[in-house]
Amino acid sequence: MGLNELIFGGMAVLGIVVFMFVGRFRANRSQRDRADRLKWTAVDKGHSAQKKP
Amino acid sequence: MANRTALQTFGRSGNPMFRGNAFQPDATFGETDSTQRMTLAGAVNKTGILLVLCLVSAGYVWNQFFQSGGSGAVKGLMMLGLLGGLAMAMVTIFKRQWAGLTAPAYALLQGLAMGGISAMFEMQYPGIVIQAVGLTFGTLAMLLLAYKTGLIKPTENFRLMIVAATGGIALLYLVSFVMGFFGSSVGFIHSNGLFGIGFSVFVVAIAALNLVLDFDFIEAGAEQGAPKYMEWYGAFSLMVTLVWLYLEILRLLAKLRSR
Repeated sequence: MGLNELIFGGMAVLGIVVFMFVGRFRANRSQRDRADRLKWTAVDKGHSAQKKP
Repeated sequence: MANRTALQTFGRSGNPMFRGNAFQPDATFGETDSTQRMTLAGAVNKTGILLVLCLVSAGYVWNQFFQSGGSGAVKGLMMLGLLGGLAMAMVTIFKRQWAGLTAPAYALLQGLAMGGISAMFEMQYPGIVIQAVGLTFGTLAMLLLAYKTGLIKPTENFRLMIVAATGGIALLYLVSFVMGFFGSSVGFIHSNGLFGIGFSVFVVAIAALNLVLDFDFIEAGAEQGAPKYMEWYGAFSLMVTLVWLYLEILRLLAKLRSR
C-alpha cells in the first residue's frame, strides 16, 4: 500500500466516520434558531389547501 | 428579479430532489406515533446502507473490468446502471413514499455505473480513484462540521444561488451532450487548459454546496417530524449529490493529471 492509498484512503474512512457520528447530532443552536432559515415546508399552497377539512 | 419571484419561478431548492412540499405529510401521518417519524440517526444510517450497496455493486463491476482487461465486458452493466439509476431516481423523486425500495435500487444501479467509470479512469491514471473517493468523503465531513457548527448558514439567497448555478451547469452539460450527436461539443468543459480546470473547480464547489442543502433538508425533516420514509428520501438525495461530487472531482483530477 502506497502513500497515496494511505493518505486518501484514510481521508475517506475518516470522512465516513465523522459523517456517521456527527450526522446524528442536531445542528448548533445558532444554525437552528435564526429568522432567515430555509423554509422547506412553505410551499404548494394548493396542495395544502386540499388537505384542510 | 425579486427574490420572491425568482424562487417561485425556479423552485425553492438547489437539489431537484427537494421540492417545496417535501415534508407534506401523507393522509395517515397524523395517526402515526413518534417511532414512525424521521430522525437524524435514521437518515444517517440509511445513507450508510446506500453507500455500502453502491460500493458492493461498484466493486463487482470494477473486478469484472480488471479481470477482463477492458471496458467491453462491463459496458452492458454500465448502461444498465446509468439508465436504471436514472429511472429509479425519477421514481423516487415523484413517489417519495416508495423511497424505501427505490433508493436502495438506485444505489445498487448507480454503483454499476460508478464502478465502470472509476475503473476506466483508474486504468488511464493509476491511483486517481482513491484520491477522488478521499476528497469526496473529506468534503462531506468538512461541510457537515461547518453546517452543524453554524459556520455555513443556508438562507433563501444561498439556495437561489445554488439553484441557478446547478441549473446552469445542467443546461451546459445538456447542450454539450446534444452537440455530441453532431460531432461537436462545448470545448472548454472537457479541456485541460486553465479555463477547463477553472470550470471543473466551479462545478465541484457547486456540487459540494448542494451538500449543505441536503443537510438542512434532513435536519428540518427530523425537526418537523416528517414521515419515516423521508429518511430514505433524505439519504437518497445525499447519495445523488455525493455521486455527482465524486464524478466531478474525478474529472477535475483527470484534467490536472493530463496536463
